[in-house]
Amino acid sequence: MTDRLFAQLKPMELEEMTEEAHRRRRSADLAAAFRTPRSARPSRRRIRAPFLLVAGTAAAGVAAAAVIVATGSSTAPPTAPTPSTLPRTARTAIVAKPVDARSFLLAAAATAVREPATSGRYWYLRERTFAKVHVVPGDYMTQIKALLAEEQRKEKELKDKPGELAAQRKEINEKITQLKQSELPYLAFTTDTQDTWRAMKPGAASRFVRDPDVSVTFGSPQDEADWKAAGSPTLTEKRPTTRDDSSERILSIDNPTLTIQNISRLPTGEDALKRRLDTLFKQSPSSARLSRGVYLWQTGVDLMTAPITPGTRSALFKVLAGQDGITAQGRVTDAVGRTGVALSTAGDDGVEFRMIINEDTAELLQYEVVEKGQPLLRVALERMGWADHLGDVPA
Amino acid sequence: MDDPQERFTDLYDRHYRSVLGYALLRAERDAAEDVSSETFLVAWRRLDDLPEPPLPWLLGVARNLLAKQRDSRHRRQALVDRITALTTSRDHVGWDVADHVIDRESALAALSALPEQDVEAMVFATWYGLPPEQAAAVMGCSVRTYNVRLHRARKRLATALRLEPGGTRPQARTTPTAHTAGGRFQENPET
Repeated sequence: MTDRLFAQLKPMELEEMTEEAHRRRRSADLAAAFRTPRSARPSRRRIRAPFLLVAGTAAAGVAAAAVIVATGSSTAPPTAPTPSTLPRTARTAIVAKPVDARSFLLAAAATAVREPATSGRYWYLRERTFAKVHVVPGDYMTQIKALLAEEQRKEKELKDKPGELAAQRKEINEKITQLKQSELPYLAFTTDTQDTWRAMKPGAASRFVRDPDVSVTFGSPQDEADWKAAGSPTLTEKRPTTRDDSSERILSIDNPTLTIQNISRLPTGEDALKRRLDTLFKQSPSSARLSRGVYLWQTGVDLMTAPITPGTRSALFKVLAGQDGITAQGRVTDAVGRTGVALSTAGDDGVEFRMIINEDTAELLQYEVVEKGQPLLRVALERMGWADHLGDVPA
Repeated sequence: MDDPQERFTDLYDRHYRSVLGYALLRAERDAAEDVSSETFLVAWRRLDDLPEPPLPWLLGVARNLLAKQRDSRHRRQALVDRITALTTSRDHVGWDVADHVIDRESALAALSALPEQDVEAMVFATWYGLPPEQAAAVMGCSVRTYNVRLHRARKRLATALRLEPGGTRPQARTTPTAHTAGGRFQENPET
Protein backbone atom coordinates (compact mmCIF):
# COMPACT_ATOMS: atom_id res chain seq x y z
CA MET A 1 0.00 0.00 0.00
CA THR A 2 2.64 2.52 1.03
CA ASP A 3 4.91 1.31 -1.75
CA ARG A 4 2.20 1.78 -4.33
CA LEU A 5 1.52 5.26 -3.03
CA PHE A 6 5.19 6.11 -3.00
CA ALA A 7 5.58 4.79 -6.54
CA GLN A 8 2.96 7.28 -7.68
CA LEU A 9 4.82 10.19 -6.13
CA LYS A 10 7.48 9.89 -8.80
CA PRO A 11 7.03 13.04 -10.90
CA MET A 12 6.06 12.31 -14.50
CA GLU A 13 8.31 15.17 -15.60
CA LEU A 14 11.37 13.12 -14.66
CA GLU A 15 10.91 10.78 -17.55
CA GLU A 16 10.67 13.53 -20.14
CA MET A 17 13.57 15.45 -18.64
CA THR A 18 15.86 12.43 -18.67
CA GLU A 19 14.68 11.43 -22.13
CA GLU A 20 15.36 14.88 -23.51
CA ALA A 21 18.75 15.14 -21.77
CA HIS A 22 19.73 11.72 -23.10
CA ARG A 23 19.13 12.89 -26.66
CA ARG A 24 20.83 16.23 -26.10
CA ARG A 25 23.92 15.06 -24.25
CA ARG A 26 24.51 11.63 -25.75
CA SER A 27 26.97 12.44 -28.51
CA ALA A 28 29.04 14.85 -26.41
CA ASP A 29 29.16 12.43 -23.47
CA LEU A 30 30.17 9.50 -25.66
CA ALA A 31 32.79 11.58 -27.46
CA ALA A 32 34.22 12.85 -24.18
CA ALA A 33 34.53 9.29 -22.90
CA PHE A 34 36.14 7.94 -26.08
CA ARG A 35 38.75 10.71 -25.89
CA THR A 36 39.71 9.61 -22.38
CA PRO A 37 42.18 6.73 -21.93
CA ARG A 38 40.82 3.70 -20.13
CA SER A 39 42.60 1.80 -17.39
CA ALA A 40 44.37 -1.09 -19.12
CA ARG A 41 43.12 -4.33 -17.75
CA PRO A 42 42.27 -7.58 -19.47
CA SER A 43 38.62 -7.79 -20.33
CA ARG A 44 36.64 -10.33 -18.40
CA ARG A 45 34.72 -12.17 -21.04
CA ARG A 46 31.58 -13.83 -20.00
CA ILE A 47 31.00 -17.41 -21.01
CA ARG A 48 27.65 -17.89 -22.58
CA ALA A 49 25.60 -21.00 -22.11
CA PRO A 50 26.00 -23.43 -25.02
CA PHE A 51 22.34 -23.19 -25.92
CA LEU A 52 22.58 -19.43 -26.40
CA LEU A 53 25.46 -19.97 -28.77
CA VAL A 54 23.38 -22.38 -30.77
CA ALA A 55 20.54 -19.87 -30.88
CA GLY A 56 22.92 -17.14 -31.99
CA THR A 57 24.32 -19.31 -34.76
CA ALA A 58 20.90 -20.25 -36.08
CA ALA A 59 19.86 -16.63 -36.39
CA ALA A 60 23.23 -15.60 -37.81
CA GLY A 61 22.97 -18.27 -40.48
CA VAL A 62 19.70 -16.92 -41.81
CA ALA A 63 20.95 -13.35 -41.60
CA ALA A 64 24.07 -14.24 -43.59
CA ALA A 65 21.96 -15.80 -46.32
CA ALA A 66 19.92 -12.64 -46.49
CA VAL A 67 23.03 -10.47 -46.76
CA ILE A 68 24.01 -12.17 -50.02
CA VAL A 69 20.64 -11.27 -51.49
CA ALA A 70 21.01 -7.68 -50.41
CA THR A 71 24.54 -7.10 -51.65
CA GLY A 72 23.90 -8.97 -54.89
CA SER A 73 21.13 -6.59 -55.89
CA SER A 74 23.00 -3.34 -55.41
CA THR A 75 26.45 -1.83 -55.13
CA ALA A 76 26.22 -1.85 -51.38
CA PRO A 77 29.10 -0.66 -49.21
CA PRO A 78 31.13 -3.46 -47.67
CA THR A 79 29.48 -3.02 -44.28
CA ALA A 80 26.78 -5.47 -43.34
CA PRO A 81 23.35 -4.04 -44.04
CA THR A 82 21.08 -3.56 -41.05
CA PRO A 83 17.99 -5.72 -40.96
CA SER A 84 15.76 -2.81 -41.90
CA THR A 85 17.51 -2.33 -45.24
CA LEU A 86 16.95 -5.89 -46.40
CA PRO A 87 14.47 -6.39 -49.19
CA ARG A 88 11.22 -7.95 -48.08
CA THR A 89 11.61 -10.63 -50.71
CA ALA A 90 14.40 -12.06 -48.58
CA ARG A 91 11.68 -13.23 -46.24
CA THR A 92 11.12 -16.97 -46.12
CA ALA A 93 8.56 -19.11 -44.44
CA ILE A 94 9.85 -20.10 -41.01
CA VAL A 95 9.55 -23.86 -41.15
CA ALA A 96 7.35 -26.17 -43.11
CA LYS A 97 6.55 -28.36 -40.16
CA PRO A 98 7.34 -27.07 -36.69
CA VAL A 99 9.27 -29.75 -34.91
CA ASP A 100 9.21 -28.34 -31.43
CA ALA A 101 8.51 -25.06 -29.70
CA ARG A 102 12.17 -24.14 -29.37
CA SER A 103 13.09 -24.47 -33.02
CA PHE A 104 9.87 -22.77 -34.05
CA LEU A 105 10.68 -19.81 -31.77
CA LEU A 106 14.26 -19.59 -32.99
CA ALA A 107 13.05 -19.53 -36.56
CA ALA A 108 10.50 -16.86 -35.61
CA ALA A 109 13.39 -14.86 -34.14
CA ALA A 110 15.21 -15.02 -37.46
CA THR A 111 12.08 -13.88 -39.31
CA ALA A 112 11.27 -11.05 -36.90
CA VAL A 113 14.68 -9.44 -37.13
CA ARG A 114 14.35 -9.00 -40.89
CA GLU A 115 11.20 -6.89 -40.65
CA PRO A 116 11.86 -3.18 -41.23
CA ALA A 117 11.82 -0.89 -38.21
CA THR A 118 8.89 1.51 -38.39
CA SER A 119 7.50 4.42 -36.44
CA GLY A 120 4.42 6.62 -36.42
CA ARG A 121 2.16 8.85 -34.39
CA TYR A 122 -0.41 6.36 -33.17
CA TRP A 123 -0.08 2.66 -32.50
CA TYR A 124 -3.24 1.02 -33.75
CA LEU A 125 -4.59 -2.29 -32.49
CA ARG A 126 -7.82 -4.09 -33.33
CA GLU A 127 -8.68 -6.88 -30.93
CA ARG A 128 -11.53 -9.34 -31.05
CA THR A 129 -12.11 -10.59 -27.53
CA PHE A 130 -14.01 -13.68 -26.56
CA ALA A 131 -14.32 -13.87 -22.78
CA LYS A 132 -16.10 -15.90 -20.19
CA VAL A 133 -18.73 -13.91 -18.29
CA HIS A 134 -18.04 -14.06 -14.56
CA VAL A 135 -20.64 -11.65 -13.27
CA VAL A 136 -23.81 -9.96 -14.45
CA PRO A 137 -22.44 -6.44 -14.98
CA GLY A 138 -25.52 -4.58 -13.70
CA ASP A 139 -25.80 -6.65 -10.50
CA TYR A 140 -22.10 -6.43 -9.90
CA MET A 141 -21.94 -2.64 -10.11
CA THR A 142 -24.98 -2.29 -7.83
CA GLN A 143 -23.39 -4.54 -5.23
CA ILE A 144 -19.99 -2.86 -5.43
CA LYS A 145 -21.55 0.58 -5.06
CA ALA A 146 -23.54 -0.60 -2.05
CA LEU A 147 -20.38 -1.93 -0.42
CA LEU A 148 -18.48 1.28 -1.08
CA ALA A 149 -21.33 3.36 0.34
CA GLU A 150 -21.36 1.16 3.42
CA GLU A 151 -17.61 1.61 3.76
CA GLN A 152 -17.89 5.38 3.61
CA ARG A 153 -20.66 5.40 6.20
CA LYS A 154 -18.62 3.26 8.58
CA GLU A 155 -15.51 5.38 8.04
CA LYS A 156 -17.42 8.37 9.39
CA GLU A 157 -19.02 6.47 12.24
CA LEU A 158 -15.83 4.83 13.41
CA LYS A 159 -13.25 7.52 12.77
CA ASP A 160 -12.39 7.78 16.47
CA LYS A 161 -12.14 4.01 16.93
CA PRO A 162 -9.14 2.90 14.89
CA GLY A 163 -9.39 -0.72 16.03
CA GLU A 164 -12.98 -1.17 14.92
CA LEU A 165 -12.32 0.77 11.75
CA ALA A 166 -9.50 -1.57 10.74
CA ALA A 167 -11.70 -4.61 11.35
CA GLN A 168 -14.46 -2.99 9.35
CA ARG A 169 -12.14 -2.28 6.42
CA LYS A 170 -10.97 -5.86 6.44
CA GLU A 171 -14.54 -7.13 6.38
CA ILE A 172 -15.48 -4.94 3.45
CA ASN A 173 -12.37 -5.94 1.54
CA GLU A 174 -13.30 -9.57 2.05
CA LYS A 175 -16.80 -8.94 0.77
CA ILE A 176 -15.43 -7.22 -2.33
CA THR A 177 -13.03 -10.09 -2.96
CA GLN A 178 -15.88 -12.57 -2.57
CA LEU A 179 -17.96 -10.63 -5.04
CA LYS A 180 -15.10 -10.49 -7.51
CA GLN A 181 -14.55 -14.22 -7.29
CA SER A 182 -18.19 -15.26 -7.50
CA GLU A 183 -19.21 -17.30 -10.53
CA LEU A 184 -22.43 -17.47 -12.46
CA PRO A 185 -24.43 -20.72 -12.33
CA TYR A 186 -24.23 -21.01 -16.14
CA LEU A 187 -21.44 -20.77 -18.70
CA ALA A 188 -21.65 -17.75 -21.01
CA PHE A 189 -19.25 -15.85 -23.25
CA THR A 190 -19.26 -12.42 -24.80
CA THR A 191 -17.52 -11.51 -28.05
CA ASP A 192 -16.65 -7.93 -28.80
CA THR A 193 -14.22 -5.86 -30.84
CA GLN A 194 -12.15 -2.92 -29.74
CA ASP A 195 -9.98 -0.53 -31.71
CA THR A 196 -7.26 1.36 -29.90
CA TRP A 197 -5.09 4.22 -31.09
CA ARG A 198 -2.35 4.90 -28.59
CA ALA A 199 -0.66 8.27 -28.97
CA MET A 200 3.11 8.08 -29.03
CA LYS A 201 3.43 11.67 -27.85
CA PRO A 202 3.17 11.87 -24.07
CA GLY A 203 0.07 13.79 -23.05
CA ALA A 204 -1.63 13.49 -26.46
CA ALA A 205 -5.08 11.89 -26.60
CA SER A 206 -5.47 8.20 -27.30
CA ARG A 207 -8.71 6.75 -28.62
CA PHE A 208 -10.62 3.64 -27.57
CA VAL A 209 -13.52 2.51 -29.72
CA ARG A 210 -15.74 -0.37 -28.86
CA ASP A 211 -17.86 -1.88 -31.62
CA PRO A 212 -21.52 -1.74 -30.69
CA ASP A 213 -22.10 -5.32 -31.83
CA VAL A 214 -21.44 -7.50 -28.83
CA SER A 215 -22.63 -11.05 -29.02
CA VAL A 216 -23.33 -13.55 -26.26
CA THR A 217 -22.90 -17.29 -26.62
CA PHE A 218 -23.50 -20.08 -24.11
CA GLY A 219 -21.43 -23.09 -23.19
CA SER A 220 -24.34 -25.44 -23.93
CA PRO A 221 -28.13 -25.32 -24.47
CA GLN A 222 -28.47 -26.18 -20.78
CA ASP A 223 -26.42 -23.10 -19.86
CA GLU A 224 -28.73 -20.96 -21.97
CA ALA A 225 -31.77 -22.49 -20.29
CA ASP A 226 -30.23 -21.76 -16.87
CA TRP A 227 -29.62 -18.17 -17.93
CA LYS A 228 -33.28 -17.85 -18.97
CA ALA A 229 -34.33 -19.38 -15.67
CA ALA A 230 -32.26 -16.69 -13.91
CA GLY A 231 -34.41 -14.04 -15.62
CA SER A 232 -32.27 -13.54 -18.77
CA PRO A 233 -30.07 -10.80 -17.26
CA THR A 234 -28.10 -8.58 -19.63
CA LEU A 235 -24.58 -9.98 -19.84
CA THR A 236 -23.01 -7.23 -21.92
CA GLU A 237 -21.93 -3.98 -20.47
CA LYS A 238 -23.27 -0.71 -21.75
CA ARG A 239 -20.17 1.39 -22.19
CA PRO A 240 -19.61 4.49 -24.30
CA THR A 241 -18.47 3.36 -27.72
CA THR A 242 -15.80 6.02 -28.36
CA ARG A 243 -13.57 7.52 -25.75
CA ASP A 244 -10.64 9.89 -26.14
CA ASP A 245 -8.34 9.99 -23.20
CA SER A 246 -4.99 11.67 -22.74
CA SER A 247 -4.06 10.08 -19.43
CA GLU A 248 -1.13 7.69 -19.36
CA ARG A 249 -2.37 4.14 -19.98
CA ILE A 250 -0.67 1.13 -18.53
CA LEU A 251 0.93 -0.86 -21.31
CA SER A 252 1.74 -3.98 -19.36
CA ILE A 253 0.09 -4.60 -16.02
CA ASP A 254 2.98 -6.72 -14.80
CA ASN A 255 5.55 -4.08 -15.81
CA PRO A 256 4.56 -0.63 -14.63
CA THR A 257 7.82 0.93 -15.83
CA LEU A 258 7.26 0.04 -19.48
CA THR A 259 5.59 2.71 -21.58
CA ILE A 260 4.62 2.94 -25.21
CA GLN A 261 7.47 5.43 -25.59
CA ASN A 262 10.25 3.50 -23.89
CA ILE A 263 9.62 -0.04 -25.16
CA SER A 264 11.28 0.76 -28.48
CA ARG A 265 14.52 1.04 -26.52
CA LEU A 266 14.34 -2.42 -24.99
CA PRO A 267 17.53 -4.40 -25.66
CA THR A 268 17.88 -6.09 -29.02
CA GLY A 269 20.36 -8.69 -27.85
CA GLU A 270 19.10 -11.92 -26.38
CA ASP A 271 21.27 -11.81 -23.25
CA ALA A 272 20.53 -8.16 -22.57
CA LEU A 273 16.78 -8.63 -23.04
CA LYS A 274 16.79 -11.70 -20.85
CA ARG A 275 18.56 -9.76 -18.10
CA ARG A 276 16.11 -6.89 -18.46
CA LEU A 277 13.12 -9.22 -18.28
CA ASP A 278 14.62 -10.92 -15.23
CA THR A 279 14.95 -7.53 -13.53
CA LEU A 280 11.45 -6.52 -14.56
CA PHE A 281 10.13 -9.79 -13.19
CA LYS A 282 11.81 -9.14 -9.84
CA GLN A 283 10.38 -5.63 -9.76
CA SER A 284 6.97 -6.73 -10.92
CA PRO A 285 4.06 -6.27 -8.56
CA SER A 286 2.92 -9.69 -9.79
CA SER A 287 6.14 -11.61 -9.17
CA ALA A 288 4.81 -12.98 -5.88
CA ARG A 289 1.84 -14.67 -7.51
CA LEU A 290 3.08 -15.47 -11.00
CA SER A 291 5.57 -18.09 -12.05
CA ARG A 292 8.35 -16.87 -14.30
CA GLY A 293 6.90 -18.84 -17.20
CA VAL A 294 3.47 -17.22 -16.93
CA TYR A 295 5.02 -13.80 -16.38
CA LEU A 296 7.09 -14.24 -19.51
CA TRP A 297 4.06 -15.34 -21.50
CA GLN A 298 2.01 -12.37 -20.34
CA THR A 299 4.82 -9.87 -20.84
CA GLY A 300 5.59 -11.45 -24.21
CA VAL A 301 1.98 -10.88 -25.31
CA ASP A 302 2.11 -7.28 -24.07
CA LEU A 303 5.31 -6.64 -26.02
CA MET A 304 4.24 -8.44 -29.19
CA THR A 305 1.11 -6.28 -29.39
CA ALA A 306 3.13 -3.08 -28.92
CA PRO A 307 5.60 -1.18 -31.10
CA ILE A 308 8.87 -2.86 -30.15
CA THR A 309 11.75 -2.90 -32.63
CA PRO A 310 12.39 -5.89 -34.92
CA GLY A 311 15.57 -6.51 -32.90
CA THR A 312 13.66 -6.69 -29.62
CA ARG A 313 11.00 -8.93 -31.20
CA SER A 314 13.69 -11.25 -32.38
CA ALA A 315 15.41 -11.27 -29.00
CA LEU A 316 12.07 -11.91 -27.30
CA PHE A 317 11.51 -15.03 -29.40
CA LYS A 318 14.98 -16.23 -28.46
CA VAL A 319 14.31 -15.64 -24.77
CA LEU A 320 11.05 -17.58 -25.10
CA ALA A 321 12.94 -20.35 -26.91
CA GLY A 322 15.16 -20.65 -23.85
CA GLN A 323 12.26 -20.84 -21.45
CA ASP A 324 11.33 -24.30 -20.20
CA GLY A 325 7.78 -25.52 -20.35
CA ILE A 326 6.66 -24.08 -23.68
CA THR A 327 5.28 -26.71 -26.00
CA ALA A 328 4.16 -26.54 -29.64
CA GLN A 329 0.67 -27.82 -30.32
CA GLY A 330 0.83 -27.72 -34.10
CA ARG A 331 -1.16 -25.70 -36.60
CA VAL A 332 -4.49 -24.25 -35.52
CA THR A 333 -7.00 -21.74 -36.85
CA ASP A 334 -7.68 -18.63 -34.82
CA ALA A 335 -11.03 -17.00 -34.03
CA VAL A 336 -11.02 -15.02 -37.27
CA GLY A 337 -9.93 -17.91 -39.50
CA ARG A 338 -6.17 -17.40 -39.80
CA THR A 339 -3.73 -20.26 -39.48
CA GLY A 340 -0.76 -20.31 -37.14
CA VAL A 341 1.20 -22.47 -34.78
CA ALA A 342 -0.07 -22.72 -31.20
CA LEU A 343 2.48 -22.57 -28.39
CA SER A 344 1.38 -23.33 -24.89
CA THR A 345 2.65 -22.93 -21.36
CA ALA A 346 1.02 -24.27 -18.20
CA GLY A 347 0.13 -22.04 -15.28
CA ASP A 348 -1.09 -23.05 -11.86
CA ASP A 349 -4.33 -24.91 -11.21
CA GLY A 350 -4.69 -26.42 -14.65
CA VAL A 351 -4.77 -23.06 -16.42
CA GLU A 352 -3.03 -23.06 -19.78
CA PHE A 353 -1.75 -20.04 -21.69
CA ARG A 354 -1.48 -20.11 -25.47
CA MET A 355 -0.12 -17.98 -28.27
CA ILE A 356 -0.85 -18.52 -31.92
CA ILE A 357 1.94 -17.26 -34.13
CA ASN A 358 1.94 -16.80 -37.89
CA GLU A 359 4.55 -19.07 -39.44
CA ASP A 360 5.48 -16.71 -42.27
CA THR A 361 5.63 -13.38 -40.51
CA ALA A 362 6.23 -14.39 -36.85
CA GLU A 363 3.33 -12.12 -35.88
CA LEU A 364 1.18 -12.88 -32.88
CA LEU A 365 -2.29 -13.74 -34.19
CA GLN A 366 -4.10 -14.66 -31.01
CA TYR A 367 -3.60 -15.35 -27.32
CA GLU A 368 -5.74 -17.52 -25.09
CA VAL A 369 -6.24 -18.53 -21.51
CA VAL A 370 -7.74 -21.99 -21.15
CA GLU A 371 -8.87 -23.69 -17.96
CA LYS A 372 -9.35 -27.45 -18.03
CA GLY A 373 -9.95 -27.38 -21.78
CA GLN A 374 -12.53 -24.60 -21.41
CA PRO A 375 -11.54 -21.19 -22.83
CA LEU A 376 -11.66 -18.29 -20.37
CA LEU A 377 -10.30 -15.68 -22.73
CA ARG A 378 -9.39 -15.60 -26.39
CA VAL A 379 -8.12 -12.42 -28.01
CA ALA A 380 -7.55 -12.32 -31.76
CA LEU A 381 -5.26 -9.48 -32.83
CA GLU A 382 -7.00 -8.68 -36.07
CA ARG A 383 -4.78 -5.82 -37.06
CA MET A 384 -1.97 -3.71 -35.67
CA GLY A 385 0.32 -1.04 -37.02
CA TRP A 386 0.88 2.69 -37.33
CA ALA A 387 -1.70 5.34 -38.02
CA ASP A 388 -1.12 9.04 -38.64
CA HIS A 389 -4.41 10.24 -37.20
CA LEU A 390 -6.94 9.08 -34.65
CA GLY A 391 -9.51 7.00 -36.50
CA ASP A 392 -7.21 6.05 -39.40
CA VAL A 393 -6.66 2.35 -39.95
CA PRO A 394 -3.21 1.28 -41.17
CA ALA A 395 -3.10 0.04 -44.74
CA MET B 1 29.95 -7.22 -27.78
CA ASP B 2 33.65 -7.06 -27.06
CA ASP B 3 34.29 -3.64 -28.53
CA PRO B 4 34.67 -1.28 -25.55
CA GLN B 5 33.05 1.63 -27.36
CA GLU B 6 30.06 -0.49 -28.26
CA ARG B 7 29.79 -1.80 -24.72
CA PHE B 8 30.00 1.68 -23.29
CA THR B 9 27.39 3.05 -25.70
CA ASP B 10 25.05 0.26 -24.67
CA LEU B 11 25.70 1.03 -21.00
CA TYR B 12 25.05 4.72 -21.60
CA ASP B 13 21.84 4.17 -23.55
CA ARG B 14 20.57 1.70 -21.04
CA HIS B 15 21.30 3.59 -17.84
CA TYR B 16 21.78 7.29 -18.55
CA ARG B 17 18.14 8.09 -17.83
CA SER B 18 18.16 6.25 -14.51
CA VAL B 19 21.36 7.94 -13.38
CA LEU B 20 20.15 11.40 -14.39
CA GLY B 21 16.74 10.66 -12.86
CA TYR B 22 18.45 10.07 -9.53
CA ALA B 23 20.76 13.11 -9.86
CA LEU B 24 17.73 15.27 -10.58
CA LEU B 25 16.39 14.29 -7.18
CA ARG B 26 19.45 15.80 -5.57
CA ALA B 27 20.41 18.77 -7.72
CA GLU B 28 19.15 21.30 -10.24
CA ARG B 29 19.04 20.31 -13.87
CA ASP B 30 22.45 21.63 -15.04
CA ALA B 31 24.28 20.26 -12.05
CA ALA B 32 22.46 16.93 -12.32
CA GLU B 33 23.44 16.58 -15.97
CA ASP B 34 27.08 17.40 -15.20
CA VAL B 35 27.13 14.79 -12.47
CA SER B 36 25.63 12.21 -14.85
CA SER B 37 28.26 12.94 -17.52
CA GLU B 38 31.00 12.65 -14.92
CA THR B 39 29.55 9.37 -13.66
CA PHE B 40 29.71 7.85 -17.14
CA LEU B 41 33.23 9.13 -17.65
CA VAL B 42 34.24 7.22 -14.51
CA ALA B 43 32.39 4.20 -15.90
CA TRP B 44 34.32 4.44 -19.17
CA ARG B 45 37.66 4.43 -17.36
CA ARG B 46 36.56 1.47 -15.27
CA LEU B 47 34.65 -0.33 -18.02
CA ASP B 48 36.36 -3.68 -17.47
CA ASP B 49 35.68 -3.63 -13.74
CA LEU B 50 31.97 -2.88 -13.82
CA PRO B 51 29.91 -5.25 -11.73
CA GLU B 52 26.81 -6.95 -13.04
CA PRO B 53 24.26 -5.39 -12.84
CA PRO B 54 26.01 -2.05 -13.35
CA LEU B 55 23.16 0.28 -12.34
CA PRO B 56 23.70 0.18 -8.54
CA TRP B 57 27.38 0.90 -9.12
CA LEU B 58 26.56 3.85 -11.41
CA LEU B 59 24.07 5.24 -8.90
CA GLY B 60 26.66 4.88 -6.14
CA VAL B 61 29.21 6.87 -8.18
CA ALA B 62 26.62 9.59 -8.90
CA ARG B 63 25.66 9.70 -5.24
CA ASN B 64 29.31 10.16 -4.18
CA LEU B 65 29.88 12.86 -6.77
CA LEU B 66 26.80 14.72 -5.55
CA ALA B 67 27.95 14.45 -1.96
CA LYS B 68 31.32 15.95 -2.90
CA GLN B 69 29.94 19.04 -4.58
CA ARG B 70 30.87 22.22 -2.71
CA ASP B 71 29.80 24.80 -5.23
CA SER B 72 26.44 26.22 -4.14
CA ARG B 73 24.94 25.58 -7.59
CA HIS B 74 25.75 21.93 -7.13
CA ARG B 75 24.93 21.60 -3.47
CA ARG B 76 22.85 18.64 -2.66
CA GLN B 77 19.23 19.48 -2.07
CA ALA B 78 16.61 17.83 0.08
CA LEU B 79 14.97 14.96 -1.75
CA VAL B 80 11.41 15.86 -0.91
CA ASP B 81 11.98 19.48 -1.97
CA ARG B 82 13.25 18.23 -5.30
CA ILE B 83 10.31 15.86 -5.75
CA THR B 84 7.99 18.77 -5.00
CA ALA B 85 9.83 21.02 -7.43
CA LEU B 86 9.58 18.41 -10.19
CA THR B 87 5.89 17.78 -9.58
CA THR B 88 3.59 19.24 -12.22
CA SER B 89 -0.13 19.56 -12.66
CA ARG B 90 -0.13 16.31 -14.60
CA ASP B 91 0.95 14.46 -11.49
CA HIS B 92 -1.97 15.95 -9.63
CA VAL B 93 -4.39 14.96 -12.33
CA GLY B 94 -3.05 11.42 -12.33
CA TRP B 95 -3.23 11.13 -8.58
CA ASP B 96 -6.16 9.09 -7.37
CA VAL B 97 -7.24 10.38 -3.96
CA ALA B 98 -9.89 7.71 -3.68
CA ASP B 99 -7.30 5.04 -4.26
CA HIS B 100 -4.73 6.39 -1.83
CA VAL B 101 -7.05 7.94 0.78
CA ILE B 102 -4.59 10.82 1.07
CA ASP B 103 -3.82 13.71 -1.26
CA ARG B 104 -0.47 14.18 -2.89
CA GLU B 105 0.63 17.19 -0.85
CA SER B 106 -0.12 15.41 2.41
CA ALA B 107 1.85 12.39 1.25
CA LEU B 108 4.82 14.64 0.41
CA ALA B 109 4.45 16.49 3.70
CA ALA B 110 4.51 13.18 5.56
CA LEU B 111 7.69 12.27 3.68
CA SER B 112 9.41 15.55 4.50
CA ALA B 113 9.12 14.68 8.16
CA LEU B 114 11.23 11.53 7.60
CA PRO B 115 15.02 11.38 7.78
CA GLU B 116 16.48 12.01 4.34
CA GLN B 117 18.05 8.58 4.04
CA ASP B 118 14.80 6.83 4.81
CA VAL B 119 13.15 8.54 1.86
CA GLU B 120 16.14 7.64 -0.28
CA ALA B 121 15.74 4.01 0.76
CA MET B 122 12.16 4.15 -0.52
CA VAL B 123 13.31 5.71 -3.80
CA PHE B 124 15.74 2.88 -4.48
CA ALA B 125 13.27 0.19 -3.46
CA THR B 126 10.20 1.54 -5.22
CA TRP B 127 11.27 3.70 -8.15
CA TYR B 128 14.37 1.72 -9.03
CA GLY B 129 13.23 -1.68 -7.82
CA LEU B 130 16.66 -2.40 -6.36
CA PRO B 131 16.88 -5.41 -4.03
CA PRO B 132 18.25 -4.56 -0.54
CA GLU B 133 21.84 -5.72 -1.23
CA GLN B 134 22.07 -3.45 -4.26
CA ALA B 135 20.37 -0.46 -2.65
CA ALA B 136 22.62 -0.80 0.41
CA ALA B 137 25.64 -0.80 -1.88
CA VAL B 138 24.46 2.44 -3.52
CA MET B 139 23.92 4.10 -0.16
CA GLY B 140 27.20 2.80 1.22
CA CYS B 141 25.65 1.17 4.28
CA SER B 142 25.03 -2.37 5.48
CA VAL B 143 22.02 -4.31 4.23
CA ARG B 144 20.78 -4.35 7.80
CA THR B 145 20.92 -0.55 8.10
CA TYR B 146 19.23 -0.20 4.74
CA ASN B 147 16.42 -2.52 5.78
CA VAL B 148 15.91 -0.55 8.98
CA ARG B 149 15.62 2.68 6.97
CA LEU B 150 13.22 1.15 4.53
CA HIS B 151 11.09 -0.37 7.25
CA ARG B 152 10.99 2.91 9.16
CA ALA B 153 9.99 4.87 6.06
CA ARG B 154 7.20 2.44 5.21
CA LYS B 155 5.92 2.45 8.75
CA ARG B 156 5.84 6.22 9.07
CA LEU B 157 4.23 6.60 5.71
CA ALA B 158 1.63 4.02 6.65
CA THR B 159 0.97 5.90 9.89
CA ALA B 160 0.51 9.10 7.94
CA LEU B 161 -1.95 7.31 5.67
CA ARG B 162 -4.02 6.08 8.53
CA LEU B 163 -4.16 9.57 9.98
CA GLU B 164 -5.87 10.82 6.86
CA PRO B 165 -8.30 12.35 6.51
CA GLY B 166 -9.60 12.50 10.07
CA GLY B 167 -6.38 13.02 12.00
CA THR B 168 -4.04 15.97 12.18
CA ARG B 169 -2.46 16.70 8.87
CA PRO B 170 1.28 17.21 8.92
CA GLN B 171 2.27 20.72 7.89
CA ALA B 172 3.72 20.88 4.41
CA ARG B 173 7.31 22.02 4.60
CA THR B 174 7.44 23.21 1.07
CA THR B 175 4.70 25.41 -0.26
CA PRO B 176 4.06 24.34 -3.82
CA THR B 177 4.02 27.25 -6.24
CA ALA B 178 1.08 27.97 -8.46
CA HIS B 179 3.01 26.33 -11.30
CA THR B 180 3.69 23.06 -9.57
CA ALA B 181 0.28 22.81 -7.98
CA GLY B 182 -1.60 23.46 -11.21
CA GLY B 183 -5.22 24.32 -10.83
CA ARG B 184 -5.85 21.88 -8.10
CA PHE B 185 -5.50 24.18 -5.12
CA GLN B 186 -8.40 26.34 -6.17
CA GLU B 187 -10.65 23.35 -6.00
CA ASN B 188 -9.42 22.37 -2.61
CA PRO B 189 -9.53 25.45 -0.40
CA GLU B 190 -8.95 23.62 2.87
CA THR B 191 -5.34 22.77 1.93
